[in-house]
Amino acid sequence: MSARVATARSIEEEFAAWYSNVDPALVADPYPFFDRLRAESPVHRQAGLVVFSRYSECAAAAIDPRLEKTDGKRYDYGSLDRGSLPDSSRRQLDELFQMERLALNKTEGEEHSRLRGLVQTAFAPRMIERLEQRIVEVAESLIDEVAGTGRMDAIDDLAYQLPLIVISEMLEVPTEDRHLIREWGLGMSGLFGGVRDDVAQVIDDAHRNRKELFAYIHGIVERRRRSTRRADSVMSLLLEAGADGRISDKQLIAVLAQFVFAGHETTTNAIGNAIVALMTHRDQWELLCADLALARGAADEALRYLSPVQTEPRYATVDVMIGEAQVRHGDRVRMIWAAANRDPERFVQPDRFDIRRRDNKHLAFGVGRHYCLGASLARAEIATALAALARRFPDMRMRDERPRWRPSFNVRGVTELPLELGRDRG
Amino acid sequence: MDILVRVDPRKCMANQQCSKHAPGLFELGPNGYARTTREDPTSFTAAELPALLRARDNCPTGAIHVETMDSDQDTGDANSESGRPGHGPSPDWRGARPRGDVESSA
Repeated sequence: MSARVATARSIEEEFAAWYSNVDPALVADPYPFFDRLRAESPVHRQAGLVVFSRYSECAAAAIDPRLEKTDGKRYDYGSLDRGSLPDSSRRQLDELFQMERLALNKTEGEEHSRLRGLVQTAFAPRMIERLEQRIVEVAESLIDEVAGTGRMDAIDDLAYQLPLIVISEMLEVPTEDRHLIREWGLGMSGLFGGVRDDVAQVIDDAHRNRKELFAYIHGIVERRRRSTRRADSVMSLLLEAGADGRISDKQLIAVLAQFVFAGHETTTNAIGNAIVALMTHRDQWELLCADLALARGAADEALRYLSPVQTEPRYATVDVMIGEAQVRHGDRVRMIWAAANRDPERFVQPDRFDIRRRDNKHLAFGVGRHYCLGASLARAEIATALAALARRFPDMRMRDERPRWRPSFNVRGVTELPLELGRDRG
Repeated sequence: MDILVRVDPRKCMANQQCSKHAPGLFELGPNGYARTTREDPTSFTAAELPALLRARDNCPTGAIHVETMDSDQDTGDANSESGRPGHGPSPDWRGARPRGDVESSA
């Protein structure tokens, strides 16, 4: 364990600092705190929350159907104190919930099964394999655009564009609108990260951006209804379901909006995090450069080591035992995936970044019925980006040795990632 | 035609698509991870193949392998476009094992 564990702060104080994003040291590196939490308080109760940080409880809680994504009225955005908000912000939060609750990742039970069943096949590994050549083409063309300069911002130039172009093509959303979609995504993401300052503004931004995204998707859907579509696109699957009455118009828009948002934002962070991990573990980067077949392993190890989605919430609908922990009806639960993914009870040398790790059943995509629908797609995109960079720029380095992490207990990613590329090996 | 079916515990993430697409052929074990309902994983029949393939094709982690005993090939490898390594069955999946073996330790 690191020296930070010797801090004079109580575990409750350190949790509060992490949860509200107020400590720059915890923003820069929360992992020593996760070590402490797992060791001292693996079932941590604070501020109406039950927090799990070990692999076994995190997995059990995610799989248990009695712990649901929402309580039917709201989603848990972390340290946001609803009681202290002005009425206008509370109304906006309620409206946001009404828009979001129809999407796949907020539904439960039969409705969730039915919705997931509409699109599951399109995102399954066998279908994603067919997209791999296209993912390579997009990655190479994005790199070509900046290769001549010898420099790249890995986030702006590659990590956000690659997944957004690919998901847009899958959904038949115009790829030239990707800058708009990114702006809406960034405008919404503040709410998910744990709000510290300007709470009303963050809610207002999320509300406005979500409404604009929904209006945009609505326009796309109307146009696609009137035009010829690719028979195999995700958009077609959903529009056919709409025509058969298997999905309502409102739900169709909510699901598509979720796909364009979830289809790029977390993968952007995952690609950035993987590059940071490889650049700061030079021996592993050299291994990858020597054998590009290790790119898949590198992607998964980066997902484990620097998980882009660090936590996930649940609400207890009844009294539940998770392992030996009693969770009461009405409790809010939070699983810390990032802590579970460094659990020494589950992973050998968990703090070692090892792209050849064999036993790597990490929880970066969650587990259970809400296991990330786009996991195979994300894996392919991360691995493709890493392989393309390693093949062309083995001398690549970060221009700033200390990456700037977004101040969020929930979302781990860098805001920018300037790279010195070195010679292009083409 | 006998068919061998395996749930790879290294890949199963308890998403439950298999038990929805092939009820009666897959079930959830005590920890919520998938397993086949048969003591003998080679006892699946041709009539069950469509449901088994639906379960396989909808598994989000590619954890389900369906192998026809006649050709001794995973049906996915036979149809695979890329034939990428890592998607075929591991050698240690051959032969019957107790059902408990397919349960994840997680």
